[in-house]
Amino acid sequence: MIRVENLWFRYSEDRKWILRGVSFRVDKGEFVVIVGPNGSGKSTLIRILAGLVPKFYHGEVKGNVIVGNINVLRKPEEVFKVAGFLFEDPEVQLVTTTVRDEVSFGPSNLGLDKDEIEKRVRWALEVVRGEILEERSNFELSLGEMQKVVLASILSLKPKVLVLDEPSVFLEARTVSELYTMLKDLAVNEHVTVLAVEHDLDKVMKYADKLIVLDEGKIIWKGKPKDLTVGMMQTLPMPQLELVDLVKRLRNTSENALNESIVKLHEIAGRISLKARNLGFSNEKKIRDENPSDTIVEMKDVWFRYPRTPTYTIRNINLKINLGDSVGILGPNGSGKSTLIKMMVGILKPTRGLIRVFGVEPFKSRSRIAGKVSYVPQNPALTFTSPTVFSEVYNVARRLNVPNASESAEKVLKTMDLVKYRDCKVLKLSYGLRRRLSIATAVVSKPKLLILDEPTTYLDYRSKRKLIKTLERIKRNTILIIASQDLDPVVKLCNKVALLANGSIVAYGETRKLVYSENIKDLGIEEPLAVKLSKKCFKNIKYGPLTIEEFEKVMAK
Amino acid sequence: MILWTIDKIKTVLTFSKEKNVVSNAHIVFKVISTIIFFAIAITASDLTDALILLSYPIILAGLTRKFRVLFESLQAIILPVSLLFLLTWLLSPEGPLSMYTVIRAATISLRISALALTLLIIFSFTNPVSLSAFLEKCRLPLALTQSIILTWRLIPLVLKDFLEALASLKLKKYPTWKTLIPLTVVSLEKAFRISETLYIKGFGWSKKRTYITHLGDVKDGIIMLGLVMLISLTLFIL
Repeated sequence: MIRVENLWFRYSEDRKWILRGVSFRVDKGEFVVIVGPNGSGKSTLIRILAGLVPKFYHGEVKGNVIVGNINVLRKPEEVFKVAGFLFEDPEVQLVTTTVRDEVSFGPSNLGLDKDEIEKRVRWALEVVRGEILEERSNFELSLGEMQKVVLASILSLKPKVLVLDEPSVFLEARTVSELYTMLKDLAVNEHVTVLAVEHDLDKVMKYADKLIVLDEGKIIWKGKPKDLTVGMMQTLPMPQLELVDLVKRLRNTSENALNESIVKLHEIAGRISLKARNLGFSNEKKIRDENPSDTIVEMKDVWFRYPRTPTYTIRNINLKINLGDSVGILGPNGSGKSTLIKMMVGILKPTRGLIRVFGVEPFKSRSRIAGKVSYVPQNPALTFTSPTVFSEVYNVARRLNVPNASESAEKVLKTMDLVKYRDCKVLKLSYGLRRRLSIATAVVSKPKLLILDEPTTYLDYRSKRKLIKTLERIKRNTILIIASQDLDPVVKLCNKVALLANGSIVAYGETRKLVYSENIKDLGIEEPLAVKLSKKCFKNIKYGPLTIEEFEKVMAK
Repeated sequence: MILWTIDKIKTVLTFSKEKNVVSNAHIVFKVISTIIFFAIAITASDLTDALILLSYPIILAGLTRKFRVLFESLQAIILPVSLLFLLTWLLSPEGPLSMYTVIRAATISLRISALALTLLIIFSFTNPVSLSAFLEKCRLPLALTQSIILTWRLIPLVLKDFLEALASLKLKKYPTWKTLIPLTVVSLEKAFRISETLYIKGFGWSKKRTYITHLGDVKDGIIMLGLVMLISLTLFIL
């Protein structure tokens, strides 16, 4: 169904070949996953398959690409008749204002008759289990619902091939698993060929029939997931799995694990079974007298409703964040995490209730908290005003009257591991680097409070670990508030967690206590690996390790 | 204040899918009544005329059964209209102390308010797909008709980014105009991704498109048109 033969490509402004002799085929009804590190050429390959080269991306291309019966390099404009493409950000893939118009957009472009279009709309929404969304406006949808609608809008074109570029980036664990189950059903029942690029292999491994590993524009491994061993995972340049890292660390306890297939990883981890015992962890809550002057953020009976939406996004939130706390705000898509922190930095004004940050209402007196509070939005590009990496950090330091602005900027670039990109153009940076730069500009003034919205989005396991290590250093002098659906940064950086569901805080307390509670699972958030394994290994466990480092220590005992 | 105004503008420029006379009205009647209203707003010359004009958006809000829409639209225009009033009053050649100046400034501001409120209410309750379908029937080029749909879709997204960029930069003590830098970059990146999406959904492949969205209800359209005619008649008689 997809045939790529000896494909070479380089962008017109670049002399380096991005793809170098890539060849593979994908058969009808197969589910294939492409993995590789940043800059390996995955996205370029997807763009070529989508027919976006050379119309949108100019460059030199050699080889042969066939999708269905279309020769993509000769007739790129006809690819849409056989293949549908789903990219990571659903918001920019919705081009109309209502769900019904969106799903009918593709078939309308084909000039099909009305009855056929209506039939396809109903079928597509049924496949994505989104019938109830049909009468909704696109502006009312959560990210998970948007992704469903985008998928339905592509399915309504009745594609024989579905190509997906990191479709799970913005979605919580439960929605990701729903999405991939849906896609697997399509592959099995409707014989649709699925080709997905995914940086988090753990999310997609169990659905894949075949894996393709790409590095520096070349395929360096392809085969069935069961043929990929733990040992190979460590040598191949591909997104690593936390479980592989753990198995590597616990090599002594899990003999021959390196020769085991990665599909058996959970089984291997399961072998590490221990009897119940006191692990030395406890609910870490330190009872101390509450001093009102310690309160950094205070929320009293806060409600928020987005205009033109029937329901409240935030409902009756009461929250106090004190000096010395670092708080993670966890919750599924649409639970109100981002809304809550946008109110803390004064982007949104509560519909009802009161918010105070350092004693002032942020929406009214933003200038009074400038310098004390820094905010890193989900899209880091929204904070950039200067052409190069150094000038961006330096200008912020200068604006905020940081003593020795130039020196401070250099120091922050070093902390954030950005020195080698010092003179690079900001807009040429990858998303991961943009994220690091955005944090660099946020911490150059040494703010007392740093608020981050989904800091690990788009980052693979290695980049995520690097970022978390940097934030651990920053945390020594700064209070962190992190809104995330990824538990990893929260368990490693925050001592307190607020669990949000449908706009309300369902639990607030010590991280270890809440992560080991049932609330996490109920909200559809994936438990950290260390928690999953600990629950498996130690019966009736109340509090245990949160990170694999802690788990390793327990195992060493 | 800027942040507040942008937030209100974003609110009123967000499409609302609620069913009412204004949203159901046939698109042809909607377009004609808006054109007529514009024409009579230009001819209105005194304060009484301006007040009569202002009754149209108020009745429209009543027809939507949501007076909140009128309130939201008022919030969105209050700052620019107040500025207009002040400038027209203070910079008048007759001087700010003349009664004539005050009345003229009030007339102009009320006329602009009536126009702006009407447009915002109609914008909120018009599905751009039906407008595109109508314009396509009028043989307008496909690229133009589709850009109307994208306008409805993109304006709230751009304003949302503007709010976020503005707040982030204000925390870094940047002046407001600097927000335009990241906003332009992000909007261009978004526009590029949207044009990719249009392409991979086959937009422009065929000159003929099929629309499943209805153009609207004639009866409701007649109500809207009738209202404008009534206001024109009142202005003519007075």
